[in-house]
Amino acid sequence: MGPEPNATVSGNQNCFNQIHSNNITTNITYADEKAKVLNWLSPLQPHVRHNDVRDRRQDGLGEWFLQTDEFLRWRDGGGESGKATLFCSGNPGVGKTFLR
Amino acid sequence: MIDRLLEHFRGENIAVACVYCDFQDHERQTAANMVGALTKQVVNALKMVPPEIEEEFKRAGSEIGGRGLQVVETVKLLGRALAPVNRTFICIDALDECSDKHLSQLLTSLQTISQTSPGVRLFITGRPHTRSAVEKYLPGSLQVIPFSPNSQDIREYLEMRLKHDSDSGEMSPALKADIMKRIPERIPDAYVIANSIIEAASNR
Repeated sequence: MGPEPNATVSGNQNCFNQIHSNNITTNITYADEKAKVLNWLSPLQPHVRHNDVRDRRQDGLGEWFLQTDEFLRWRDGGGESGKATLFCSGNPGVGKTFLR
Repeated sequence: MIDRLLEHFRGENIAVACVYCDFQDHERQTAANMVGALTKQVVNALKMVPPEIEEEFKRAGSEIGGRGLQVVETVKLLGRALAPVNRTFICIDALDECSDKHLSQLLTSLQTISQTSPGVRLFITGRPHTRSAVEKYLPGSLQVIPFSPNSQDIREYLEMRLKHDSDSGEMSPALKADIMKRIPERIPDAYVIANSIIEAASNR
């Protein structure tokens, strides 16, 4: 692969920037085609909810959690090392969704 | 957390994809649509739609009236999308809000993905009772962390709520001060318990 696909959760970002071609017509056609494929993959739009969460959350909330060894091992561990699945268990309203 | 992961791994070959389960959206939140949504986010992050996905799309479109995806197919497509990515963080929020009908299918799909794509890390949140379902499908690789806010979290949250409360002008400073003092006071016990469980778990 060429340059990294640095992922984001924003569903409909500007596709043109991701395609390095001088042919604008091709780009528009391709972006259009990509949008159709994305739409076919799923009608859900998690980025809409994500933006809503982002607007409402408070920086620093749950910071302790993001510093735990368990979280860091999960984030940084590769392949077999560290646990591949983290289940964050808590009652509604404790702020799991709003972890920054 | 999603933004934090993206910040941390900026410029690296990673992808982050999430699904927020919602009681009110059961009709659309089928396992196929949820796995499809994960695929959609990964594909969107790639420079090109992987050829296998493009072909599958064309094949589906050529059938009469077009054809929706089955969950098994979306799992395969997600595997294709993940191939060029080194590490993928998949976040499923509020798994307890997923309908019973689709929960086992979703977990089976996640199980397949984590077995076939080694660079995948799963982050799942949910009420404690969902734990047994997660354990059933993702044994061995699972780490459980009880989450409860600490007193600093509570203070920050209260400050935010008081600041945004449109009627807060009517609240006396004394009442505000009382809220800020009394509520966090009642929380630390819960935090200490959560922390000791985490420590016990990590010393195992």
